Amino acid sequence: MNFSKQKLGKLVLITINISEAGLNQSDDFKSFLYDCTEDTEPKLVIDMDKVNYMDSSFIGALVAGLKNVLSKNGEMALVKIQKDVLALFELTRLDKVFKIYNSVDEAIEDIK
Amino acid sequence: MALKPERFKLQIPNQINDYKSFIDYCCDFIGDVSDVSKNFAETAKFKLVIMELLTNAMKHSSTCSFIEIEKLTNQLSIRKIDEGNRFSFKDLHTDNKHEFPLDILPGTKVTALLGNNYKLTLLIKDKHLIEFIAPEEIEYKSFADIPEHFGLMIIAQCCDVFHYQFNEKNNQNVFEVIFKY
Repeated sequence: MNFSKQKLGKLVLITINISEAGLNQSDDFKSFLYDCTEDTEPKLVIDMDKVNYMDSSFIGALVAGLKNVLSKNGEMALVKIQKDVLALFELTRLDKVFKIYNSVDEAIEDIK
Repeated sequence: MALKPERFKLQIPNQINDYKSFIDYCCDFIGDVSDVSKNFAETAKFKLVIMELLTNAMKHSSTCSFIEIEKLTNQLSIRKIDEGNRFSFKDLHTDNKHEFPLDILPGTKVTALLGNNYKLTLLIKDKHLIEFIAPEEIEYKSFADIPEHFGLMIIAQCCDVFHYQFNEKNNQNVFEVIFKY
């Protein structure tokens, strides 16, 4: 499974289980994120530890997911972003848009 | 630094399930370009450029496409070449759609609308050639303003020069990315 989710109370912990997140997975991931935001005020924590490569289409899916979460007054956090992937967030200034944490615990503590 | 001229060309598969091998192969080829290979930030940019060109090929090139990397004296040139649909854009201010060959005065700067909220400045070089200009500053006024497409902008930010050329004679599209040293 490319993506998995785990309910932790009101919060959903999503794990991306692929090392290369690109065009082939971006549409599926967008749908997956939408499915995780059926609750009102959804709170999502996305563990990106396994992702070594990410392209603009996948980051677009993350942005679409974030917009959807925010439209429902929810919150979304990204966790454990690898250095190469973080460079992509910095270039697009999305590092200023997303809440980014070094650990799942830290993210959960902040947005729970 | 002076590099011995050298180039290689790789065909881009229609579906890529293994970006890493492709990117590693490209990184190996430029291993002796120490300005890129020994500098983490530059290597990250080089990898992003390759990845975005691959994604662009899968997304937009209906025909066979190639990546060509050439080490020249004092610059590294990466080209994505295909014979698919020509690049086109809409002028944000006039709402006019432009296709190649262009009917715009050379030297003109156009704010192109390339998707929802996705804008990029283009410098018209001639009727067959445009340069993508990296934004000096990116600021999102609200969440609704954030685009969901970034590919060409990312490439423009990573390199020194990024342009698109339509080769009318061969009906060929060439996106060229240049890293200067």
